[in-house]
Amino acid sequence: MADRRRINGPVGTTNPPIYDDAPEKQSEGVKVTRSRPANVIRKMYLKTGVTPSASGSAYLEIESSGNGGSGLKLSCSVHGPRALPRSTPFSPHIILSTHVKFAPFATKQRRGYIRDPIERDLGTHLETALRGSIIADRWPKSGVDIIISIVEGEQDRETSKAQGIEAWDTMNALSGCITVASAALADAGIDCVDTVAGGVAALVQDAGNDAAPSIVVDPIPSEHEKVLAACCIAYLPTRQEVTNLWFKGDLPASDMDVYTQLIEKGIQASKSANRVLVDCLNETVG
Amino acid sequence: MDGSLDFKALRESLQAALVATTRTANSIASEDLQFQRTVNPTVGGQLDNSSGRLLSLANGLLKSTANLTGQKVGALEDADDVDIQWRNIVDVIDSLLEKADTCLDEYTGLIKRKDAPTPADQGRAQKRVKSSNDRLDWSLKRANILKPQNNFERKVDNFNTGPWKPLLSSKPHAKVSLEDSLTTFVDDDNNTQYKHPYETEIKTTPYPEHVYKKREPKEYLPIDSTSAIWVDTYEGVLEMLEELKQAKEIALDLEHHDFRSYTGLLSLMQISTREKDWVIDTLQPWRHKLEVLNEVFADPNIVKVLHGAFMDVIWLQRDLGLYVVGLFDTYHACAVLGYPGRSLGYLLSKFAEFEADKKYQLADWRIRPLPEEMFYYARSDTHYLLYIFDMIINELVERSTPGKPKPDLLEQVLERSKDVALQRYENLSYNVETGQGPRGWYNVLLKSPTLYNGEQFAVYKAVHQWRDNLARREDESPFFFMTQQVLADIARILPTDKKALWSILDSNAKGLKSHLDDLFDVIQKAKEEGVNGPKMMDIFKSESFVLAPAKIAAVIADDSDIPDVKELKADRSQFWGGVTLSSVWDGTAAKTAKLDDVLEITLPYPADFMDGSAAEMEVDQPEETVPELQPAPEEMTVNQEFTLRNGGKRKREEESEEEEEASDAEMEDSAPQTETDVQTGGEAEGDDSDEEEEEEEEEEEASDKSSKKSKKAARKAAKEKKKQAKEALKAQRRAEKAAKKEAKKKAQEEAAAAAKQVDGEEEKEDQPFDYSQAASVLRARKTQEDVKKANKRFNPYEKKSQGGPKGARAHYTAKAAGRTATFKK
Repeated sequence: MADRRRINGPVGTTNPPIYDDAPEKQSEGVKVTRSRPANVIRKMYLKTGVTPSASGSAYLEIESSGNGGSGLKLSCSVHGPRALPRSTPFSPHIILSTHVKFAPFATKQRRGYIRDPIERDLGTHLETALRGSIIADRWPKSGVDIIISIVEGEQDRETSKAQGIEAWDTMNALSGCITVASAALADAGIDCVDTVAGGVAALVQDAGNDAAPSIVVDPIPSEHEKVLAACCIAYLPTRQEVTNLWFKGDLPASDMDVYTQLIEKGIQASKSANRVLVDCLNETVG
Repeated sequence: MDGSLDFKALRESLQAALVATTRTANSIASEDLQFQRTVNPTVGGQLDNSSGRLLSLANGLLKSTANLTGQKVGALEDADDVDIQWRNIVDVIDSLLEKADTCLDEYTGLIKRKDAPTPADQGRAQKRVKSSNDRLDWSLKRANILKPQNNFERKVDNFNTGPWKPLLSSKPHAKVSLEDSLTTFVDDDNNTQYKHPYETEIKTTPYPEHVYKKREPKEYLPIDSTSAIWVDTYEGVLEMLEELKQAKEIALDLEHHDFRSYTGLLSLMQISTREKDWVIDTLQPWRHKLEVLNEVFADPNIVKVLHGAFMDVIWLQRDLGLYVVGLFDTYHACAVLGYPGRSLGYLLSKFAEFEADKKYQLADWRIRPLPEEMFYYARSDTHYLLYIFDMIINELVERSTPGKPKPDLLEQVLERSKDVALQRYENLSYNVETGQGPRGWYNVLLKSPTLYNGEQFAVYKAVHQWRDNLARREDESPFFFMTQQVLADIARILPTDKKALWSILDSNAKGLKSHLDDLFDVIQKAKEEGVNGPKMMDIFKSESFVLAPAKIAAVIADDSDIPDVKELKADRSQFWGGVTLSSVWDGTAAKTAKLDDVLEITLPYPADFMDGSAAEMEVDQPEETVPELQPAPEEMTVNQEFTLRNGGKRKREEESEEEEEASDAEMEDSAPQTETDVQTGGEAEGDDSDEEEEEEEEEEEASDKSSKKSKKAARKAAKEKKKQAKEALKAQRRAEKAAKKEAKKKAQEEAAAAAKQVDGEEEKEDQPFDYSQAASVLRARKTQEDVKKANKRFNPYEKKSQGGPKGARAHYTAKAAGRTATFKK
């Protein structure tokens, strides 16, 4: 389907020239390795109330890893709850519609205006994650739109695409989406059983010691030699419930311990994110 | 070549004939036959004759093809019948064409089919196979015969619970002597077990060289024209052994029976070399003497080819004390090569195009003499195996790159085969309490969906133990007495009398009849004991495997590993820097006096630019710019040259209203006047006291009072003068009307002089404006009311947020004050 609403660029595009600066060269030679402890997530900047026209909104920024890279930046707005259009059939509970979109300039690879499969996939995952936390039957005949625009993606999307491990970045994006959407929902005053936050844990193989793969939370794929498996978890801490679980990777089926450990760590990452989330919401109230 | 040439010639002649016939038929049809018939009676006769002949030909054709295809077409009586039965005729012709098609496909090699294609029969035949032949006759499955194990010279001890001692009495091809290899060790479950006697040999001996080489696959001998040798004497075994020793590789397969024996019976052994097949009866009383076969089986230079040797290795050592050194398991080759199927049946159909009838796998192999079809099946298991072995080795060698560890498929197969050969038989232990062991109930209950309470669980355990004891004593399989289903039913129903118990037992449980009272007593006793006994779940809860989730839960509950919020939270956005994302967060909404901070917002730089000098710039900028902005001409309104009509902040609304009134009043005079005049006039006529108050406020702020006072005096004087000047002007105009132009000129000069005088006075008294002392206009201090007004004015989103339909809310009546929690304040 052609996008007729916007003025799109010409079909044949050229990439803007990228000049080979000194820091580029540096990064070629020395690979950045993870400096955080294995159980610590990157710092987050989270604020609610960034879009006055929306019922609720939040902005999330994940601190970049250091060397000139950029971190994830998400902006979420929640519209509603509002009455469903007359044409829709009766619904005894609130109808969630989630919409995740990379800004065209969010990644090095320019994005189109129409959502691609990855973005739609993110939307579905997000919906599952949020549905577990919203008390949906408090709002019959209503709908709420949750719109997330990823203003800036993870920095090494291009490299990861070249290595064929794009899914790991998508997981990080999803966990961010869950956290920011949860904050925006709380800002909109939509009743939830708990604040849901996303967390990612991964089984990674580091460059130097090839023998022992280790589990880290909030992984940056470029910092590791190889990501063997990862899982993204949406978790409700006070109820100790997982609302969404996305597991990907190649693990021996026999070793159940690795699975459980990965999920444990994912939950831990999710709890860490939840602390920031709760702190941010407290700011609003206080 | 000849055939195809013939076909070509035939086809051409056929086509020519067909074309000619069609042409003639068409030309005849175009004639008016009815007319010809009436005109010439002989033509009518000829026509009738030929149509009759055509009809009979068509009938004959249809009949013969109908026989072939199984479709029925009624005889064609006359030409009209062709139209009536047209549909049937088309069917027949279609099926003929179809058949021709398949024949052609087969001829060109698109389709492979062994028997002649007879689709009508084929379907039926396939069905018949499935309906009647796929199940083995019951008499072949559960034969009621005397137990062969009763005649064995060496009996099996079913009650042996210690380590199982290998039967080996001598050890051919030994690297470690028999005495040294029969040692014990302690396994993972803390049980003492004997080591595998050939462990060292299997692990260290390399496979013979020829295994690693590509070979010309040697075709198997036709199975129908050759026959297998039935070996049921020891002499026959020795004879066979001599021939086996000459072979480089042998194929081996076993048949096993486990229903009428506690441990199981190795019933038949099939061995094939390239030339001969042997089927050995292993149920002879002297079966232990078959140990001599170790001379071949343990010989590393003779490759033993088995398919799925997982169980065979155990059966061999358990019943005959035979060990396999130099095993090649074709099952693992299938796995490594990634074949879609891994069964022997698949290999047979893939390489030998032989369809094995696997139903005999479940047959009762104790039957003697062996029925013909079972003998045939047993022999076919190994007959093709060496040919398959050749093909597989070739493929493995082709796809392997020797030396490189990963793709060396052949080495992988050999390693796995070694692991298979290293398996050990252990006694079928049974722990009554924990249910562990190969014959225990633990694994069965773990998978069963039913949950037993204390009584039921106790009964289950008791009956299970009773059944196991009985089976050991009688040397039968436990399932021979009671299937798992029956056992579960007893535990679930807990029969209260013997009749109820008997109805639960299935009809096949004849062996139980004599033990019925015994069984009932066991049930009753267990029931009484089990009232307060552990439930089924209690056992599983206490087990180690259930501990894993509990451990996870504990870890989840433990938050100590999570860093503090301060470490997780970034207070400053990397993108926005210190800039607040919305007015809510910069405090202006809450703290009124800070509004002017908004003016200090400079565009943020991305984080990258902020290091170094850029960051400093961002801090310094506002301070540098502010002093330039500060000298705001506060006195502008007073300084008449620069007053704008609606501009100044100080201007109040009433003032401007009055001003308008004033100007209206002066419009009566109709003379166009300068703005300054209007302004001064307005001020003069307006509320003077108001202005004075304002000026007094300003004076309080000002540090230099004396200069202000002098200024004020000067201003007052100026106003006085102006008033005078105006009155003079007016008087002069009136005089003008009366005294015409000369008088007017004079008056004007007078007026100009008066104005000049005023100006002169002003210039004398005005002092240069002291910018450094003046209060800021841009940053003018605001009263609370002003701020409130300003805030009230600033809500661009009010309409959006409050308008529009809202979602209906259930269970909650009180309406929330604002929509977003952040903007509530």
